[in-house]
Amino acid sequence: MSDWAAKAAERVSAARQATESRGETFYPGPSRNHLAAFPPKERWDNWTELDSRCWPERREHSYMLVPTTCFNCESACGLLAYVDRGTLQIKKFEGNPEHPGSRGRNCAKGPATLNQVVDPDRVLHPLKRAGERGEGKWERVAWEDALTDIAGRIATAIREDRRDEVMYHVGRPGEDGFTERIMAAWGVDGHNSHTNICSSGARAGYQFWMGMDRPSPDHANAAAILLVSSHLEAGHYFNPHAQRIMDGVKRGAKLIVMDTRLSNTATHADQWLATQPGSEAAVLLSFVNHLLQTGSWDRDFVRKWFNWEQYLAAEHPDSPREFAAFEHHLKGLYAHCTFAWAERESGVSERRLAEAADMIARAGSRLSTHTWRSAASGNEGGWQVARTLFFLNALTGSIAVPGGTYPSAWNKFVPRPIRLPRHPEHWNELTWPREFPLTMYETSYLLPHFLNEGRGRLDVYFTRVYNPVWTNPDGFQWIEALTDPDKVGLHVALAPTWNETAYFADYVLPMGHGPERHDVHSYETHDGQWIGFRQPVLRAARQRLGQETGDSRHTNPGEVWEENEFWLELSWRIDPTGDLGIRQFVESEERPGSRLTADEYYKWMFENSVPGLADRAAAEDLSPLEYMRRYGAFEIKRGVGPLYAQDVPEPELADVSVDEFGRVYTAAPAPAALNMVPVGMPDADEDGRRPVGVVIDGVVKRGFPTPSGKLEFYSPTLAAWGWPEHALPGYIRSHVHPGAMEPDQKCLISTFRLPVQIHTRSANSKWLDEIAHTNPLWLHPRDAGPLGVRTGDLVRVETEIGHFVLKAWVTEGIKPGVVACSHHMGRWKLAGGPGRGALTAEASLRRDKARWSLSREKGGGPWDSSDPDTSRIWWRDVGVHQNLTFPVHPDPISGMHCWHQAVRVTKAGRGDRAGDISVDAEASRRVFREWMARTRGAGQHSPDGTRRPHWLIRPVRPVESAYRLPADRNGTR
Amino acid sequence: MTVAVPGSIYGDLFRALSVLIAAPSPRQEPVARALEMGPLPTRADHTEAFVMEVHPYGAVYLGHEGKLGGDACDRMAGFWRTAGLEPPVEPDHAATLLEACAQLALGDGTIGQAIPAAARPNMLRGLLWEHMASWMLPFSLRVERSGMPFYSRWALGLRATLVREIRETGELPDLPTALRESEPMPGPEAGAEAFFRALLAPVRSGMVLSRGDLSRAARTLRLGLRIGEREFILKAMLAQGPHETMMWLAGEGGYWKERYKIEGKGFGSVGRFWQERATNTQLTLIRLAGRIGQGKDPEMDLGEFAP
Repeated sequence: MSDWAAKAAERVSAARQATESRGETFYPGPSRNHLAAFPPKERWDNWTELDSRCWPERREHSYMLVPTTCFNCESACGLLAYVDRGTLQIKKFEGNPEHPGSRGRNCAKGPATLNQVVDPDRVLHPLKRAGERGEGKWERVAWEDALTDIAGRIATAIREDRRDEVMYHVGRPGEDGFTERIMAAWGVDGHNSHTNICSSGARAGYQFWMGMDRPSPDHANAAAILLVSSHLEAGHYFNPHAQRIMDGVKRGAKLIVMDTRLSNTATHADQWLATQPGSEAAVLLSFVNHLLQTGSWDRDFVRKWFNWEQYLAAEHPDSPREFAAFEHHLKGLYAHCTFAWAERESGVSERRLAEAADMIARAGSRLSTHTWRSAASGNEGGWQVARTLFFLNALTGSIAVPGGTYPSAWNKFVPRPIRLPRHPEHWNELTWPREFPLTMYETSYLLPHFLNEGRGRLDVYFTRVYNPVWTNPDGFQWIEALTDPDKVGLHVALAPTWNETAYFADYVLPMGHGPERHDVHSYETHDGQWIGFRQPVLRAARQRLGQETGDSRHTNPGEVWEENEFWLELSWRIDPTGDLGIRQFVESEERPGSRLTADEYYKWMFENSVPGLADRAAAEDLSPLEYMRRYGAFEIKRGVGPLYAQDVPEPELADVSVDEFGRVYTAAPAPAALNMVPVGMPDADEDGRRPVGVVIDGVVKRGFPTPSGKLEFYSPTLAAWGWPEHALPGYIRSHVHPGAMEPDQKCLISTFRLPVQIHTRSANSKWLDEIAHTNPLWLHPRDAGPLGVRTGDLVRVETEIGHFVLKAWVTEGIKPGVVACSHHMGRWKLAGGPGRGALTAEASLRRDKARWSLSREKGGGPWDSSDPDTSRIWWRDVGVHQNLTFPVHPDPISGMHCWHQAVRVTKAGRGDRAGDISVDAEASRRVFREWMARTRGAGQHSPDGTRRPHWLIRPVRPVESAYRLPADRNGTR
Repeated sequence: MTVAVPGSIYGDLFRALSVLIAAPSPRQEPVARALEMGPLPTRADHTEAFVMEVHPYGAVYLGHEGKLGGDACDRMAGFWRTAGLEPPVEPDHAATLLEACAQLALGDGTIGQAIPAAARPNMLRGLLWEHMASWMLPFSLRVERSGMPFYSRWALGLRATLVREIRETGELPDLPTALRESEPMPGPEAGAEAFFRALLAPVRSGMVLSRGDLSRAARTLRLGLRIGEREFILKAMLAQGPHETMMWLAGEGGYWKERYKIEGKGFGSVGRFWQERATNTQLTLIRLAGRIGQGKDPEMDLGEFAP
């Protein structure tokens, strides 16, 4: 055989020499596979691919590629639907390379949209309850009948001035403001978001600093990336961020991850800091102290942009109002936050903390930071996690500069719509109770408790792609409220698929998935501004073929509708004559007397409100709407930069006044703005001039949308509204601090995500379900050993109000003394009811006075359907619905539900079965009352007789007079 | 133009073999023709051979876990560092190593120009023995087994070239470091998890079990194929049919033992190393399969793998 080698060597050498003697090259250059390539957009009308299932036969398929936006989280990543030109069916989804945020890449949830479209168990027709609520009996109704019934009921409530009895409760909106404007058009302060079980904690921390409530980290250009928990970067929103973190790390950025779990992101970190839950702010303050003591901070930036003069005036009135005095106080304020102190709180060694702090110090202004849920949403005082994290950016001047952290509102664009409705004249105390004047969003998860206390009732209650029975804490309280017609008169569930809340509805109305609906959405992925366009893909495909199309019901499966058309039609029917003042907001401009259509709505928006789009479209001989239908996204601007440092132009400075801290007010009207992104709205001066800027070194700069126009290191808002002790970035010991728990209790982390699931939104995605379908309890071997528990054993987890039973997963990937159980799992349906899914167990629900229990009758498993894959389901364990056993924990300042739980873990008893749930509803009401007692309500603490600081963001903003507290200022009703 | 190092006529052959393991392109045709390899395969064939079925990375064969990267890869990167050079992105890729041989033999390229001519023969000898012969025996056998004519011929050519070079330069006195320091297969007393994980690491078991091998076995044994990494597939097979799976694994052990016995001769102590590893693995698997078949204690808890 080795003779071959000798002969071959001679042959190949001779061939090379012969080739080269002709002046040619013998060996080819490097070869590439071109895995990153996408179909060129010029060929999106007719793109041919080989059918992968027919290999090795070469069978060609012809596709039309139609863009839309993913609906499985809020990142708004671009998708390209591959529509078979022969059958006009969607065959697959891939990334949209024209999308500035996702850049053609997607996580698993994007392509799995196809599963949701063809899901055999989705809701295809409007259904009306036939038996008692929750009995599981339904009858199909016509859209016409459902609309007439619901519209009539809402119209009556409005006419009888029972506007507070109409409420719309939304999960992740997936759009920017459409439905808020519908509520406002109705004159109803009935918008209720899920934000207080999600991100209010972090939002509070950011908003108190800068008047904008979330960050936009520039990971790709950072020198150090600091993530408090890996929540976003490994699960929720993770595609746009993860790819930019990878870019940054490839360029040499250091990655620091603070996470109790060894998450996907932590595995890639240069520093994994496994902190004790709730200690994150302490660790961050030790970094702050390190920067201050070592001089690694941007003194000039702090001098210009901190409201240090307000701080001195309020806290040190006798100090000279000089920066040197502030510097002295600043260093003293955090001098106790040593690494040794932080080690005692966090359990992370001084050495590791010092290493991480050095990385941050070396990064200078190229420090990108991020926190969203987890620590900020898990702990009492969690909002201080965001406040102390952003403190690092503020100290290093890494705000809105390359590699730093931008305010979200400057990296987001919300186009002005054709109609802007009025501000409601009412204040809804069910969602904005006066106990929480500083809550960032509606205290949505407390609603059943408020109904139970008799604070009000709901006549028409919409749940929209939202599942509070499953998602919220204290789900049995929700079941009690939803089954009581005295509390909820009519419950309308707008849902693409069955869920635990829809079982208790009066109407279940089928709504479209990502490729079946219109929305415009923008998201802060980098220093730029873009919009993404979600559209009914098959409708767009037929339009491109020149076919007539009606509303989205005509091209969607069954009678599935899109929400925007539904809301327009419902509004039209609520006020058919216009006497309620609603009709004008949904009337066509092009065809007066007719209802506005989705086409007209977006046509107007793209023609009038998106800078640069019309020109870009014209260059391709398209109208702006045609451009968006063809490409699905448009980049408005790249490189927005530090808007706070811009000079205010002279024409905006008319009849100005300047307060003692340099805040500048002007009588000049505000220029028309096309971008409607929500930001703080600082109040006018006493003569009605609007705030326009702030004086920095003698020049009027734009500043931040805070009352002072600066970064509010010292928050006059917190100080004035009853919380002076928390007016500075600080550390609040959590309700799960070891000192607050009994010796036999552990902290349960329940807020982490798996990268392939997203609450109930991703339900009925069979590919995702096969990858992840259960949520065992993460248990460190040191904790498992004494319990005699091994992986796969059943354990019982006892909370303050009940217990749940699940399997254990013994792993060193969790900090000892802490246990964890992920979101997404433990889905259930009542035996015999509709709503089968690959993640769904059949359960029985029992109530014995105050004691509720849920028992699993049958785990997951195969069943026959139009999809042969449902007969191939090989798993039984679908996890546990842990949230049912969590009482509500409202943070007294941010209003955020503090998710972390103090629990006891024991080996399961003989009678325990996987998935068992037991809850004492009376105990849950007791815990509610205990936490409510910690609040400091507007009735006692409002400095100006209003319910809430007017400058804070509020999704639907009532008229200013509605902010005033009623005459009885004695607290709660 | 390149100039061959005195004492080596294989520079072009190394480079040709390196070129032909890259994704097919028309530019390779003159090279393939010179080596009489027959028609070029398709890109799909190439993906099937080197992405789906057989991984052309040394770390997969020499690493403790049979996976990419890790110490085994780093050791090969050390070859470049020793020469004072920045290691390439994939230092343990077969194409990279073959090209390095070509550069040392022809005195061109980064390495060929960085190393003085007098030192190149020894560098080449060390590279061949330590970083190529050590793993390219099982690798080439597995490529050959994939049954694609072009790549089977390529694998035969690779092995012939290595054997010829070893014969001419003489094998080094010590077994390559990666083999010398490798841990053998654990016994069943280490637990099912550790045992089967080691089975998938060629340097420990002597066997190369690809995803394709496991997929075909599942079909043959009429077991449900769970899609996932190899360890996941194997565990699912063991959970469903422990006896038939163990019997099949024992058969695989026998296959590899026999192949090394014949093809390993030209590789000297390296060939004997691989044969011994496969022999020991086969004997253990036969014994365990027998116990399971007789309903006796399998000496480890296969119940761990139940879904």
